[in-house]
This record gives sequence, structure tokens and C-alpha cells, in this order.
Amino acid sequence: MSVLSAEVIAAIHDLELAARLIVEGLRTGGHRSPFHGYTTEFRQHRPYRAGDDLKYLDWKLYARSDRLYTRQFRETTNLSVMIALDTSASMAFPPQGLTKFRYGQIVSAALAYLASEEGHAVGLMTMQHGKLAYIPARGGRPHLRSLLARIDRLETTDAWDPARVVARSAQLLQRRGVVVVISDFYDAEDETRREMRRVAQRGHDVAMVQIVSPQELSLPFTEHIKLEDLESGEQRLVDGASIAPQYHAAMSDFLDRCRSSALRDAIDYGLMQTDTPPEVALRQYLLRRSHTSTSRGTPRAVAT
Amino acid sequence: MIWRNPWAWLGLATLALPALIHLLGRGHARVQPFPSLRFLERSKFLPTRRTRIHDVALLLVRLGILAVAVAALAQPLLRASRARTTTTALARAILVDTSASMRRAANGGTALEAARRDAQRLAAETGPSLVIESGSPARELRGADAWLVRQSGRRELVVLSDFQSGSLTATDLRAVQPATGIRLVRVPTSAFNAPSEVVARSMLGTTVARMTATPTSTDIEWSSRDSETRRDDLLLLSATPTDVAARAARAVGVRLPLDTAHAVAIVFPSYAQRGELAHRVAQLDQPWMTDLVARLRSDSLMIEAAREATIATSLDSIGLVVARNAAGRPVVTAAKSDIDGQTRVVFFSATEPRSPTSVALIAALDRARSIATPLAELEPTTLPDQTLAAWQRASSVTTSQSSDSDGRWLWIVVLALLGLETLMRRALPPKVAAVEMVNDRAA
Repeated sequence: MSVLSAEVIAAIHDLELAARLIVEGLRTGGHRSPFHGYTTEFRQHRPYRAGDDLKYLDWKLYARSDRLYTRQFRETTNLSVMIALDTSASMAFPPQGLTKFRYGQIVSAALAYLASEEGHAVGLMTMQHGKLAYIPARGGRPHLRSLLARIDRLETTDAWDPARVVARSAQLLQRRGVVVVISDFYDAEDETRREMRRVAQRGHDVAMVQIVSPQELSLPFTEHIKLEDLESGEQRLVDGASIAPQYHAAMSDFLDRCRSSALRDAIDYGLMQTDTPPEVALRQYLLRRSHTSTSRGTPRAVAT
Repeated sequence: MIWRNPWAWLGLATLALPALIHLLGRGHARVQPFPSLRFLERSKFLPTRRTRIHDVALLLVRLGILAVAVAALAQPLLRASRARTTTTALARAILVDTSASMRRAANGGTALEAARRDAQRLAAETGPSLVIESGSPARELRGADAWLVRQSGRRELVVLSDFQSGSLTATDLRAVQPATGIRLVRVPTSAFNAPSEVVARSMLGTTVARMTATPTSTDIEWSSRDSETRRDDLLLLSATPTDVAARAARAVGVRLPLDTAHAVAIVFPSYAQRGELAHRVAQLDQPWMTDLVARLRSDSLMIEAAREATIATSLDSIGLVVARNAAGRPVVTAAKSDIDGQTRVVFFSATEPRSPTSVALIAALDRARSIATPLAELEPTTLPDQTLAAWQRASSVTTSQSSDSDGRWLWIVVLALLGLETLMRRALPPKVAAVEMVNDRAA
């Protein structure tokens, strides 16, 4: 199955269809679900760590080897996934072509579709015109369609309080689940990072999907140009040629900061460029997530 | 191509202005939406030496506007023939005095012949020209000037005459437009002591006036020869050759000695061959003919009588109208025709001989043909050369001349380019209101 380009996917007005196409492409590639839930199917042992529930201690193995091991199980039960999508004005870039926001909508829909197909409950948390707007996590195809329709109707607005959105997403999860934050993470950088860390420390699986456009990475202006901040409306005259090195350094620092802080806080981090087909970007992200979850010894949650 | 105002090309120096503006101007910065300005520091704009021109297309259009405007101000004449006409370009109206005094001898012929030769030469020198022959040039000044006003380029009015005292006054010349040049050319005439003779025949007999003019006096020697066979040069053509009314009308005419050098005829409606005669008439082409008609037209008695006339037959398509009735219908018309082997001015009358109008016409013709007029031409004194020189003036270029150049087409091009410039300017991104300049050296 050939990979559909970002432009083709963006041209599909039916978001459910776009999501289905992406997810089917992922399945063809044989990728497993990125969502690790609570399970009863034994998976592996790992060395006991202080704080582990004693009821998951394998006493028989302890008897044989005189060492403490904790049993881990593969997911078999439903998982709650909350997708937090950035609707700030900065996502409405570039002015022409596929915007970061539309890309985020497609990725959100694909993740929701993927999770729903695997029997997980999926919800949406975002902010419209300064107010939180959300759909609680539920399973089932009718709910998925309603969710996708809601994602499709979203528009970029000026206000976006990522800390509130992330905190509220975690609150809405009945039990420990997955919070996927899809944003460019320009707004309230420290507060957002702090809130994601707090949510992760509560036991939730937090995923940070950062979306950028090639134009904002490369700053392709060589002349004097007046740049207008999409959120504040502030205008600034810059010399594209002379400002580019400084901008590239600052942007690189910012992305490194996002990545390193996510790693430090045990948050999955994925960087997606809008010129990359969503299917490819998601596959790479899922592969990396699968790898990092294995290396970190996840699942971070176990159940009897 | 000829430029009427070549000094206007100095205006091309203004082309440097838009070039400098486009070279030194900072140009326009387009506005580009951007997600966040947090990673962008304020640029330091260094004062740079511009070596490249921005908005080249717009600059070319602006240069074109100035260049075409300058060309338009230079007043081009795109067609060569028209250019030649207008530059040498002198419209000339030439008035030739055909009064009797001009019939005196000059250079082997008469003064009038010499004047006509001069008139032809002067007419050939210029573009449009008009030659008017008149026994009274002063009365034709207004008409000649009216023709000149309609001409483009320089205008000149030339009067060829012997300039007898009283024939032309400063008041007459004041009627000429100020821009019209006036040139008064005196035609040399023979010595005043050369005798001239006027033969006048009337019902009373034949009278011969032998005149000798000197600078200070005129001697006229009259002689009468009653014994000669009297021949009336005024032919009356009516129903019968012996029409009583016609003879009576002729008889009541004023008995004046007449200049019989030229023959005339009056055709009444009852004349049997009137229709045939009307078909073979020609236009008046001799100065004496037009002089005669002009005198009739200005005869007050003729005018009054014609006004009350009752039309017996239509004269609408015959010859030149001499008089009209109150309703505006022609009462008397004039044309040239050969009758009995003699060229005559034929007056067609719309009334019968017994009518008062016919009587007035016959009387007016007698007055017009009176010998008194030629005698007046024997006035020996002429206008001095100093006076003529004072009345002369050079022609000047009129304002209407500039509008005839082809510059107006260039102005249309200028307007079109201005429209294009406006469109191009609007298509540009909005100009930056304030540019933050940081002088690197100062910093």
C-alpha cells in the first residue's frame, strides 16, 4: 500500500476516512498499538523495585532463585486515551497549504481511530474561545464518529491555555490512562512542561506530539520582511538573511529543550513536520514509542 | 518629425528623479504571518549603499510617464507634410485693390495686372492662401480676417493697392485680429500726369472725361458728342422688346454719365427665353462684376424696394442673390452670360418691369454704373509710406496652433501610463510605516 502524501491526506475532507486510511497503512506495516493498558496476560518479569505492589511479586520464583521479581502483564483490557489538541492561532501556519492545525487534526483523528479500533476509550480535550471544550473518553464506533466530527469542526482561536487543558485531561480520566498532547508548544512553555510532568507523575502515560512546519524551521526569507505574530498580532520588521542564523539557533534550542525535558520527565516525545505524510510520521512515532517503552521497562501500570 | 518646442527636452533631466528614488528608497516590506516572534530578535538595519534598483518595472513605467510627458510638451508634429506646412506655415489672405485707380499704367501693363502677379507670387510662397479682388479693400478686411482665423499657424493679411488717401484707415485695420500680421504692399503706378480717359454713354449722349492727375491736382477735360449713335449698354429683356413698362422704367432712371466699359442686362419674368438663358449662365468671375453686385447690394433704395416685392417667379437656383424680399425670397439674382455676342452681367428679376422693384433695380444699376465712381479714383494723393509702415505688423503664433500638434496623443499615452502606474503601485505590498534604523557605526 503506497503512502499517501500530506497534501493528499489533507485534501480528504472526510476526517474519518483520512484517519482510516492512515491506520490501515499502519496496520499493513505490522505496528502494534502504542497504548499499553492494564492486562491480565503475563508478559515478563522485571527486578523488584521499592514501591512495587507486593501482590505482583512472583513468590515462586523468589523461592527458586532467592531473588525478587515483579510480574508484568500484556494489555487486554480497555484503556482511556485523552487527546489534547492545540487550537491556538499559531497553529494556523503556513497561511497557504497544509497548516499545522489541519495536520494536528489528522493526527488526532488517526490516533483516535487507532485507539478506538483496539477497543480503547477515546476522548478529546481542547479550548475554543477561551473555554475548555471536551468529549469524555468512551469506546464504540458511534462515539468515535462523534469525536471525529468534533475534531473536524474545531477552529483555531486566539486563546490556548495548555496547562489547563493538560490538567483537565488528566482529571477526566477515570483511571490511569494516556494523555496525548498535540501542539507546537509555543505557549506557556514552562507551565505546560510542569503540568505534563505532574500528570506523568500521577501515573498517566503522557505523549507529547510537537508539530512544526518546514517554513518555521528554515525561515525561508532573504529580504526585509515584516513578520506578524499570529497570536499577538505584533509586527516586527526583520532582515531575513541576517536574522536566519540566530533564528535557527533559537529554534533548535527550543526543540532540544522540548525533547530533553520530555525525556527527563518520562514523556513520549514526537516531532512531526507538516511536509511529512501523517502515516509516515505516525509510524516513526509509534516505532520510537514502542522502543522507548520497552527500554524503559513499561508498562508503567500493571493490574491483576 | 518636427518639434515645435524643442526646449522642452530639457525636461528629460527629471528622469533622474524616479531613478534616484528607486535607487535610494527603502522599498516595501511585505507582511508575512508567522507563528511566533519569540525566537526572532530585532534586526539591525545597516545603512547600505544601494547598488541595485528595486521595482524595476514600476521605475520603467514612471520613467516612461516623464519621457512621454516631456515629448508631449515638445509639441511634436508626427507627419512630415503637416510639419512643413505648419512651420513655414503662414496662412495668407491677399486683398487686391481693383479700383479704377489701379487701372493706371505700371511696368508695361496696368497696376492691377502688376498687383495680381504679386498676389499670385505671394500666394505661392505660403500654404493656405486666399486672394480677394475688390474695388474697396477696406470693406473686405473683416471677411479676410474671418477666413484667417480659421487657419492654423501664422496668419498674415496682405493688401496690394496704390493706397489712395482715404482708401484705408487705421480704424479699418483695427478690425483685424491682433495675432494676424498686416502687410501693406504699395503697387507702383504710372506718373500722375499720364492722361486717362473715361467714356460715358447715356441717354443724353456720349460723354468723354479726359483726366490728368498730378500730385497736387486733377484736371478733367469733358467733351460731349451728341452726334454719335447712342447705344444703351443696359439691355432690358421682357415679354416684348418694346415693352412699354420697361421703357418707361428705363426712362425714369437717373440720367447719369455712365461707365460703358461693361455691359449688363436685366431679365424679367415675362421674357420668353428666360428659362433657356437661366440654364446657360455662369458664375461671376470678373472683378468689375462682383464690384457691381456689391454696389447693388448696398444700395439702400434697392434694398427697400426689394423688401416690398411680390415674387412673380422663383429665382432660388439662379446665380448670386442680390436682393431679397421680407420673406427672404430672392428678388434679384446675378450671373454671367453671353448675350448677342457680348459678355454681360445678367440680373434676373422676380418682378415684372412695371413693378416699383424693377424701377428701383434699373435706377440702382444706373447709380452703380455711374461715372462718378471712376472719377473718384483719380484722387492724386496717396497714403505716405510712414503711415503704411506704422500700420504694418508681424504675425505671431496663435494659441490654437499648439493644440494642433500631435502632442495630444502623447498626453493620452501619459494618462494610460499613469493608470498602469497606479495599478502597479497598488499591487505592491504596503510600505513599512517606520523603519528602525540602527547606524552600525554609531552603535
